[in-house]
Amino acid sequence: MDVAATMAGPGVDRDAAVRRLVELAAGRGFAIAVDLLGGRAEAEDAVQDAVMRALGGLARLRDPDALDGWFYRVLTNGCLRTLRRRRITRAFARLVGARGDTGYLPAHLGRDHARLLGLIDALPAMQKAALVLRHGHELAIEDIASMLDVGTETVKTHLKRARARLREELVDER
Amino acid sequence: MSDDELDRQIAHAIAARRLPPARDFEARLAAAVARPRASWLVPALASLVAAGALVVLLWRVPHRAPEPPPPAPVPIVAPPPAGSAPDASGTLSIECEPPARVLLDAREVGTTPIELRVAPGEHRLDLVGAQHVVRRLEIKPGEHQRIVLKIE
Repeated sequence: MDVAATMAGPGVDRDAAVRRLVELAAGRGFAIAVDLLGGRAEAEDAVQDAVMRALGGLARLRDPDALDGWFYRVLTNGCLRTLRRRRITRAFARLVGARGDTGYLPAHLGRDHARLLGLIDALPAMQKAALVLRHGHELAIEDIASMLDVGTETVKTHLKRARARLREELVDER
Repeated sequence: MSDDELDRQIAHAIAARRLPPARDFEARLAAAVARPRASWLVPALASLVAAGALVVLLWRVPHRAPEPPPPAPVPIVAPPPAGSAPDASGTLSIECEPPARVLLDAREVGTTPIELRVAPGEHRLDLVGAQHVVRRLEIKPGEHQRIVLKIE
């Protein structure tokens, strides 16, 4: 993607937009990506890809105030794609009896946190994203709906199902 | 466990796993974004590659030699002498390990394994492979001879 040649939409200062995107990406953008994907390298890739995509579409942006939300939406979509690919890979690994990628769980985590994160990682991508954005980043349901490109009721449903599933699994393990 | 307690545990677990970005991540990101890349470079390279492929294709097509036809079997190498009955031929089957070129009366007739119709009489058989083996043999009318050789 040719960043240098990217034109911003009317009313959007391209240089300011680039600076803002880098700032968002290195801050909350990275935190969201690492919470969703687990590993640092994958998160960095996702964030950089989202920045490039956002810059590539800067010409379509009319309102500078929409930049933040737009970037987070691009980033979240990229992470969801990765999560879905990972889920397919795991399913295939299970099918052939191999041990698939089990996600990143650092050694310093306590047993309860590790168990809970393992269950969160096993949730469907949308449920996991809703859960992480709501409880990991304390975002409003409306903001999560915008990032996931769904309605607020859908976000609530994802959260409800995710909690129910976690609760069920936690009870089963005890 | 109450909803609030579960939510609190989820938030703690997510926060416990969260890694900070690498120290140089923002700088790397800024460098990647600012890296000047000529807009014409990628299309120009792609065009060059496509043009090169086209030239090679056009050059190769007219010059491509047709596939040689498979060698026709030589059913009768030594034709029967004039006047003799055609059904008087004998047959000679030759097997050789490893495979060898077969010359009958100094004419190359194929590669083993091979079966030949041969005119009655004396013949010289050359097997050229790992070694050069020469056999003299006599074929009688209607006779079938089988030669099996293993050349060390």
